[in-house]
Amino acid sequence: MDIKFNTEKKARAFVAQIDRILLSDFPHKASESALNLVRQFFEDQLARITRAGASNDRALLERTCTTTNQRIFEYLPILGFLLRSTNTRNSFEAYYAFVEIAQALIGSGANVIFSSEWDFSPLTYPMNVGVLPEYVLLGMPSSESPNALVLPLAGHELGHSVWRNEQLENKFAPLAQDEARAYLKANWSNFIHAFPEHSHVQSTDEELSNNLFLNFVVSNIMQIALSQMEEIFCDGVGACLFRQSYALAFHYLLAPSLGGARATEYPTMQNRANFIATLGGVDLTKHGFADYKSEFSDLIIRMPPREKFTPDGADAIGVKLAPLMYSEAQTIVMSKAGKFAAEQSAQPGILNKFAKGLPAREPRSLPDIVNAGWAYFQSEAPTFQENERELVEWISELILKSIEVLEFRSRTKNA
Amino acid sequence: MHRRWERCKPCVITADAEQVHNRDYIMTNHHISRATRDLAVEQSLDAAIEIDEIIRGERSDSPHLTQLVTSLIGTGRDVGSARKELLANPQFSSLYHRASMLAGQEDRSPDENDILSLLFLIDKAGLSQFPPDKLAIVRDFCLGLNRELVSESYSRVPEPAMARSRHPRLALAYGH
Repeated sequence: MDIKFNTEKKARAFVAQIDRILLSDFPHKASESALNLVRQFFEDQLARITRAGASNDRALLERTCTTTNQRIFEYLPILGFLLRSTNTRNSFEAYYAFVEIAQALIGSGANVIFSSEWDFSPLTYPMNVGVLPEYVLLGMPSSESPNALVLPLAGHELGHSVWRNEQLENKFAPLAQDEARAYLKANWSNFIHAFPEHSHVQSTDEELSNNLFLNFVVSNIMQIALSQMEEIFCDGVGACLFRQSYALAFHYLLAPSLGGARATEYPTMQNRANFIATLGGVDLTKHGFADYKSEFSDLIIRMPPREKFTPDGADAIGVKLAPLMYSEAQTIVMSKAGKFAAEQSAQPGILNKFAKGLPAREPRSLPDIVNAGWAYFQSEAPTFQENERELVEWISELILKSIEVLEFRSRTKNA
Repeated sequence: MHRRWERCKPCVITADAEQVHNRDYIMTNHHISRATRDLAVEQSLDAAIEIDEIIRGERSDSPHLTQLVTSLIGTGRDVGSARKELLANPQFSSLYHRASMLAGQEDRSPDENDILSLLFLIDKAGLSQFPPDKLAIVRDFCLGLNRELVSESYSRVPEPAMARSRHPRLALAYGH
């Protein structure tokens, strides 16, 4: 069959899959409304295929079919995410608390979809998804779904939505561009070593503006640097919101490493750990880490110069601009969601309750509860008798019950 | 290696371009964000479909081309300086020239390759003022843009706190 027939068939199958998922019971309306938006997006794809099919231009039809194929490829995992958001494995107790934080940070229209994912690392889907601009998709690893101590890592994923909502890519792009050009000029001999076929080119401002290959290199360095800056900013959001519990959850899940080489769009783990420890506003030596950074390791792969040049540039820019990213995160979080950010003075009262086996009575925010949970966990871990129940299970129950108290208090206050 | 990677030759402003010298263009920010690039996947395709329909005499305008030009180029300032600034922007310049590389375009004259000026002209005068061969150039450019943006979207993955390596290798890009 021809590509038009096949692509229509695949798009209709995708829509039919959405219709089946829509028959599910949804604990929160956001998943259902997101599915309907995705459904409309694919109905529009079908209309495009029909219009392109009426043309004599083969390239037009091919591009239309390729676009639909790519969107199916891109959105099928998101359908899975939306389906899994209905699963009872999720920590639904924390849902409302995250909605409150997301709406404070992003706006009252923000929708949160929480899911336990079959992916070890917490994740969000790229918030460039034009179909779901006001949705925050928070995926936590299913194996850790009973563990409330890892909830702070959702702060990083929230950061991606803040980055988009505040249009920080646009804000910092000129700076990243200047830094990329400066890096190229300052490392010109390395560039020529990596790309000897361009040895006749001079590193003048005119060449940097007019030479297309140099433009391509600068654009690549800038793009990867912006990705790193976004990741650093997201760590800043997590650290500013949750303070020490972000660092502790980050360490729990990711230290010493996951074994492979990092994506170059991310800073090295040691750099990220260093930023959290030095820019995150918490003295981690008081939380059991004499040298937090050294808890993490990176697999260093020797790359040929032409593959290494671009990520090296992005790494240098990421390190240079990390303080600015943390400062930006701090400013945004404190101005928009300061009342939810962790407060050290709020922790002892909650910790006292936990020590008595009770949930918090008048918790102020989710981060305060989780911080007290981590304090309890760290103090009890050496002696806790796990014959009857595990410590993580016990403290998670106390944390989640406290978050329910928080929700009750917030709802009754807002009622 | 294709010579266009070597140097971006000064683009030729055609006589028609002088008609738009008074038109102003505003570019609040040259950077095309990831969100804008993602939206432009369908915008560029819709613009190509609409232009194709104009060529076939089925319509006379392309609202999606207007949206696309606004998203990628901006509106309202002096054409000459806007053009210069856009081509000096590495991100725009890289995307623009990659999008221009559709099969067969290597044989076109410098004037025909100056799609940016053509876009400025179209934005000013409207699509109905242009013959089918010029419209076909813009349609093909939109398809080239769609190709580049879909390619980027394809390599995009969920954003975990930690990710495996996934970035395209510069050394292998376009066979260079």
